Amino acid sequence: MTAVYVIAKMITFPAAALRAFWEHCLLKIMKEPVEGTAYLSLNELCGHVEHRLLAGAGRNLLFCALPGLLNLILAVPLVMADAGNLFILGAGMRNLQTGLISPLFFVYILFYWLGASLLCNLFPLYEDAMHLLDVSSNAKGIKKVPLWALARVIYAGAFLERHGINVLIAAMVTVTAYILK
Amino acid sequence: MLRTRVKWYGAVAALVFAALAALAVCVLVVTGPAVRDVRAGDAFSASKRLYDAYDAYDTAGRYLLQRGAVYGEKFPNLGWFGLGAKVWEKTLDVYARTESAADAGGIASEVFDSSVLKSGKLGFTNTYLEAKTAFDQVTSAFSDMMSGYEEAARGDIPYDDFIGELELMAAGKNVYHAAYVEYYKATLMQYVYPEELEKSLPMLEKMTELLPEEYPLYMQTLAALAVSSGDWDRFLEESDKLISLNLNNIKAYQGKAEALIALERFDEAAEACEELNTYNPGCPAYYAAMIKLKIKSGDTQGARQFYDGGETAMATAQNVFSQYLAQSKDISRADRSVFFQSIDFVIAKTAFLMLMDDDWSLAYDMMYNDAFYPAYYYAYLTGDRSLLAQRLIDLTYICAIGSNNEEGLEELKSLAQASGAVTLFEKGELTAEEIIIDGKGGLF
Repeated sequence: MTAVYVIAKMITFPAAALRAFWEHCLLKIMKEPVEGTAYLSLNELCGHVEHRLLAGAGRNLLFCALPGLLNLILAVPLVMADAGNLFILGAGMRNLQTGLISPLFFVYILFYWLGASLLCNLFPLYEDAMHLLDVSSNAKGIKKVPLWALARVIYAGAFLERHGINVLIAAMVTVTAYILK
Repeated sequence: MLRTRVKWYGAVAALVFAALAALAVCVLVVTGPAVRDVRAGDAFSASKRLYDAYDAYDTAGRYLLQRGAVYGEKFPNLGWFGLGAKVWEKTLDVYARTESAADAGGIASEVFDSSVLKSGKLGFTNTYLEAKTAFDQVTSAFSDMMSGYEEAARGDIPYDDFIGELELMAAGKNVYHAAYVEYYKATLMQYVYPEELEKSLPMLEKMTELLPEEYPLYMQTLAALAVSSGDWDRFLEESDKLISLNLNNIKAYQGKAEALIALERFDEAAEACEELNTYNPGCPAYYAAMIKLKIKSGDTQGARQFYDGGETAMATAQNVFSQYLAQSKDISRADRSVFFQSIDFVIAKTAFLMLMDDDWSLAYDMMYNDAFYPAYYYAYLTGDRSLLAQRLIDLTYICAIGSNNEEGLEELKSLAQASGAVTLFEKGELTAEEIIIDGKGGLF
């Protein structure tokens, strides 16, 4: 399973490295010790940084959600710009009216890969997500409900990422959009 | 505690991603309107509003071409923004369904470079190009056939020989040849035997079966037969069929409304007009049809509320006319349609003024400046005389008589029909009410 995970992370390596960078920055801000700093190591930590499990529901949620949120913010314009041009306007390598090479086509392809990569790196390491699930179960008071819901969403996302299913979904969406465009 | 530094490439990745996201926002701003138009076109197409769909695709294409031209000035060897093959396929499909496959072929050969057409990406255009080739070949053969008979009496035309020659043209060729051969057989039949229109119907039926979008001649024939027989059922049935295929088919709505007015089924005519306005909001044809309906149903005062209704559209029509005068080739089909409809609207407004019988000068000015003059110059500039119909000239002339406009009478005398409604009105044997409400003289 690790091989599938590493392959998925390597396909989306710029966004995986970026997610690890956000995690690293966040751990430093939270003054938490970081044990392994290779962002793209060829093991189950690829795209994440090694650290001790965090204490407290709020800190855990922040660590699990914020890096993904930053990736999502960067992904939205990238995906929207190229999906509109590639799949709705059907932009191709050549401008059909002039027959000239369209440089923007290559930009759209790059955008699409980067945007999809970012969307494939929204969730934390599976172990962090499981820890958040445990912590959220012990939460008390009014914050328990939103924390419980968010923890489950994050857990589900981390599960998909762990098995490379998110990359598979992205590929299927791309093929479907290309066929239907 | 382990103190670690963040990796430099992580920071670089963050900066690069932020820069690319900003660039993506710029791309979104530039191409976003075109994306929105294409999506709107898809929605219109799905809801059978085919003219709106075409206009939306056309707007997207024009916008992208305009944006591309800006960058093209700096980098002339690169193709910037453009519509993809799939969008072009949808655009030409809509055009073929609303105009004709041959016209769609005309657009394809005009817009695309021949090397691109042969590249295979635009394989869908082959059908339209075949239709265009067939139309050009059959039209050219028909013109050659008729070239020696311009001055001949209709009876001198060797009808059977020509029909035989036309049928030979269709043998072994594709469906488009067959369809256009039927079209010209019907045209020839109607020209040689104008009193026996019904005999051309089987040919026209076969033609519309092969090329459903080539219905105008078929509908004109059905309308002419309905006028002579008073039986509008078939015409109404076919109109409903056309409307169900394209809710933007303004001509089909107009035909249906006119038929219902002729049958004095005014409520149903009003329903048809309202439906026309629902799917084509604010179009001049709606106001023209409503004025006519109110006048014909005896509610002349009711016509007044629609008199000023199409002013916005009229301003657009005048703007389009200015573009024609400036010989602009960049007039969209939507604008052209508004311009054409505006002529009908002016005729309806003039009819209202004629009935009021209080301002013949205004009626003449309006008819001359907003209908005759634009139609005359349109015919002069484009060679298409469809707008400059005889009834338009005659109505303008009648307004000149009513307003005692010597200059107008002098100018139009040679063009106006020296018989029928014009002569009878001049002699005082026909009143404006008889021409407009009773339809005497065949002008209204």
